[in-house]
Amino acid sequence: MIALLAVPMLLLATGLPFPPTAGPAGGPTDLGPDVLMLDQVPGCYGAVRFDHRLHVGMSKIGDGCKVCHHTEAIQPCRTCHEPVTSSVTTDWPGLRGAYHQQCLSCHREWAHENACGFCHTDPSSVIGPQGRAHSAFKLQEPRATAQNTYVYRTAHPGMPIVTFHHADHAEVFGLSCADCHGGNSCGQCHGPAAQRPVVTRQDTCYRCHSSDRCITCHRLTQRPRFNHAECANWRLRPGHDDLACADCHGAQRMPGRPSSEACRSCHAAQSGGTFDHASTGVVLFGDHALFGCLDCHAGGDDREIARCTSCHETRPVAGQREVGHRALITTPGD
Amino acid sequence: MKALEADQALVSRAGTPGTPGSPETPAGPSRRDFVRLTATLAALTIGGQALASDHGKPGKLSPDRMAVLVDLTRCVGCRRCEWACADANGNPHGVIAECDDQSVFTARRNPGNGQFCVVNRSETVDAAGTPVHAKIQCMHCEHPPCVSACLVGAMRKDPTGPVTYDPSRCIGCRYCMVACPFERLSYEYDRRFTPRVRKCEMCRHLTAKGEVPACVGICPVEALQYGRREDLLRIAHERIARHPDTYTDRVYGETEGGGTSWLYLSARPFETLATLGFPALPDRSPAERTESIQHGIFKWGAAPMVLGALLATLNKVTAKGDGA
Amino acid sequence: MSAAIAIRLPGLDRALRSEARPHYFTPGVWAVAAVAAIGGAVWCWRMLFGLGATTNLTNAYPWGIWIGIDVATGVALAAGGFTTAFLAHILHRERYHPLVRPALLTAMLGYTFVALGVMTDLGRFWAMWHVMLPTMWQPNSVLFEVAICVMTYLSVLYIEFLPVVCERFVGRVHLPGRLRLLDGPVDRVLRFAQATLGRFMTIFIVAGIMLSCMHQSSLGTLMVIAGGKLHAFWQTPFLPLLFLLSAFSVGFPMVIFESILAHRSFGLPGEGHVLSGLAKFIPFTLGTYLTVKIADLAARGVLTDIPDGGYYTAMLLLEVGVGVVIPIIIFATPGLRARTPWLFAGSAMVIAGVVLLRLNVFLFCYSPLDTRAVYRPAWTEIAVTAGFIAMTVLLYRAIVMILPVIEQLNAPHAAHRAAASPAPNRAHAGAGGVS
Repeated sequence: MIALLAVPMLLLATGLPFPPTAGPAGGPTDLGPDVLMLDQVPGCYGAVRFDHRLHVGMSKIGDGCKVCHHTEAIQPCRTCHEPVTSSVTTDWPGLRGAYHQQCLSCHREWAHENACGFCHTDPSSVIGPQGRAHSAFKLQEPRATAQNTYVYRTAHPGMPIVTFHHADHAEVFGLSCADCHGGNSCGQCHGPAAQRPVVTRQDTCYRCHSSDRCITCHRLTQRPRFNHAECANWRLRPGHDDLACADCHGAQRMPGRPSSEACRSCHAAQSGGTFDHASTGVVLFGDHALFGCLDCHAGGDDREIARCTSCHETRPVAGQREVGHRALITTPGD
Repeated sequence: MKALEADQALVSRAGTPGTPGSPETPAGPSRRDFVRLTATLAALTIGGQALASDHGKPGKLSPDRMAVLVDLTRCVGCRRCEWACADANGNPHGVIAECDDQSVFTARRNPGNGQFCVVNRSETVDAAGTPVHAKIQCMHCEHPPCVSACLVGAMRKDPTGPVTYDPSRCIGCRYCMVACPFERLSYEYDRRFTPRVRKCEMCRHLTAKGEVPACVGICPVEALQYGRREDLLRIAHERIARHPDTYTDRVYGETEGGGTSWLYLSARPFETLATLGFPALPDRSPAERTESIQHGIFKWGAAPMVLGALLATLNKVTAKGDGA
Repeated sequence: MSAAIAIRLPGLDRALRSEARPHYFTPGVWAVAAVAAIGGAVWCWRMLFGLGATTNLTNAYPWGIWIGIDVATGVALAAGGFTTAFLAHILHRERYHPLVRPALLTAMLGYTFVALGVMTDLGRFWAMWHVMLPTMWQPNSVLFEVAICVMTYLSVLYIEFLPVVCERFVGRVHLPGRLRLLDGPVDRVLRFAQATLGRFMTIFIVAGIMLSCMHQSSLGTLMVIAGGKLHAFWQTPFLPLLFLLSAFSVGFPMVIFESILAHRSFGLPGEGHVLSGLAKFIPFTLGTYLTVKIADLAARGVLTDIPDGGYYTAMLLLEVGVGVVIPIIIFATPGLRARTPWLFAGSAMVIAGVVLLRLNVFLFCYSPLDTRAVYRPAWTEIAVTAGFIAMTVLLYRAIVMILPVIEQLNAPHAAHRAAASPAPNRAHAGAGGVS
């Protein structure tokens, strides 16, 4: 991993333009050159300094390298597009047309920016604010905005309301924009006239919710935002509120019960490597030491913790259920 | 009675035999007179047709005639074409950087005396918030109404594509402007004695040297493409077929108004772009209609001749009736 | 004052001296003359400073009132000439002969000012002669056909009118000052014309009617090429037929209208019986026009648009209602057409209807693609148009006072005419001994 990053880092440090012909047509993890000088097109405008790395980053929300390079096989534009448009009656853009079509298709859509000086910043070029620093990062403005919650009324007769908490998915569940909006164009989220991005259930919701029951989303009433106590039926004890989901649930997409290791990863630290339950004042005896944390701490409620009666019956009753392998025992200590 | 006499001067010899005051006039119009009249008219009509310049006659277009294909999905409204157009045609223009002024888009513009092509921007935007930009200029119709309208042949459809204007023939009637279905002609009303019609002539001074029209040459996104009309139509349809989701399935100018030399591809249906310079037009040039009326009525001067014969006969018949 | 006029208008001096004849200038005529003078001055301004300085024409409205009124409407209203000629000369309805010369004069003056109007509107009026150059001809052009026809017809009209001039001046050519020397040659030319024209007059009359039919209809074809810019109520391939039929229809009303005005103006007894006779024909021409118009609207399926057409519906209904339907009723009712006020009102309505048809087609219902464009004629345009109309009126008045056009007005000439005109060879042998 470090080795992979090292090449671009080195290039960035030295500031050497990476010649496009030397661009490695390597594996999919190759990020290509950092900076390119686009200077093969004759015309009245000077060369353009193209921050390739920045665009690689942005391409991740879309189809990746293919967004610009058309196919998985990465080649410099010049390989296919002639610097001078030679034939007038083929449908094959020249290099100048290819650059402008490619660049402006996003720039125009995203920032509604089509002034030549935005890219043609070379001091020797005919136009543009003289010596202006490359400021493509300004493109982050205007920021994409989304409502916290969207409520949909569906045609489902029984349970018509679907509540989608965008904020929960983005902030609580830790999804990245690209997870859902990979197919959207820049301008759909950014820009003054940003339109509501198009997200289809098949592409997005079902990627996680495919095995859920209808009632997970379709309700009679609007659903409140995510609340661990209600939605997971496990009230977070003080101190757990600020944890990310993954801190307990790991990288599971649809979290289930955290493993005891997850608990111990923090709680063990408090007692030097291994968690000694005795440090809490309660000594586990016998087979109890073999249980997982949540076997006893289900529900997250202090009073519910280690309720002996959840396993141990106070008195034997005829026909009383037997739970798993546990022995039917009388209350110890009483 | 005085009334009758008063008119004898007008018709004494020909029309009113037997009326008092013209006793010696021969009966009715002589056959010779009628033959003379018919011959004169026939000679005038046929001679006129033979002598007349053959400008504007359809069906003489070269199969290699040139055209321009505009892809509106590519146009970004940089307005460099306007600058190049002004530069190539000797019209006043500023430095190229002034093209970045987007404020001109607030008002719809038409081609004018100092600017043969203009780019307009649509008020509405698409799903991605992007407006449509459209360059408009003379469409160089295949069967141009302006050429058909011009009575002195100042407008001419060059067999190689462009519709050209020759001020040395023009008399300034502006019928071409009435006829233009796209309203792209401009007139120098402010020139006192030598006003001209101003229009795009597809940079014929450049294409004669083997170059492309100035607007095509400068377009950075290659939204404009100059080539044989046939080839461009093929390319346009191929492009639509390749990206059916991107383009509306129509090449504007393929048939509109009988076809034009400027062809347009668009993402949005052209019906929604009428005010941007894409009026809904029938597939036949309006010139076809007037020409068929005109040549239908005056084919070999037949209708006027029949009318003349009818009038002469009526004159003779009723004159006899009067005389009897 | 009258002396000054007398110098400019030979023959008028005599008219003015004669106690029995009306004076040329009345307060009304002075007013018309003022309009003409202003028009003339503005016309000079236009000729010197161009269209931009004097018109509100734009690229969207390349044609204004100079074409819409002066040319298109002028040609239509001059239709009295050929319709009357057809009735009197081709069909030999002799009782209508008194109407021929006034109608001919109107046509002649009308077309003269049509030509002048065209010239005024042409951006390069100095290149007008290109139309006569066969190498410039472009026969696909409807305007070419109109131009050639109008030019030819104008010449034909002058030729048709020449006998009237001959009749008045043969043997009485008195040119002022040094020009006196030309009295003889001019007289001989007039005598020659008088002697030869008569033989060919039928040809000219037939040609005149043919040319009229050709360009009256082509004037309609003119706007067919405007396509969708002309509203669907009027945009039809039958526009030439409608224009021709409306020209037929407006010919007699125009003659009636003029006759009533002229006779009243000169204090002459009206030609009521002749005029009501003429009025009999009008319902037939108007009826034909109306039938074709409705059939055309129906065939093109726009009849159903009439109830919700707004502005265009109003214009159409005004044009057809006032200009066609009501006059048909008036002229088809014997009791009404026998009375001069009704004749006058009916004729005025037909004229208004035809004027409106022409203006609807050329101006009112012509909508450019650029919907922001507006055309309101500049005062200078209105002044020139009004000036032309005023000039027509003034010239008409002058000419009918000099030349034997309106017969009651020319009683003193009548005796002379009876002797002189029918047999020029014989009658003028001795009378023209001026030279």
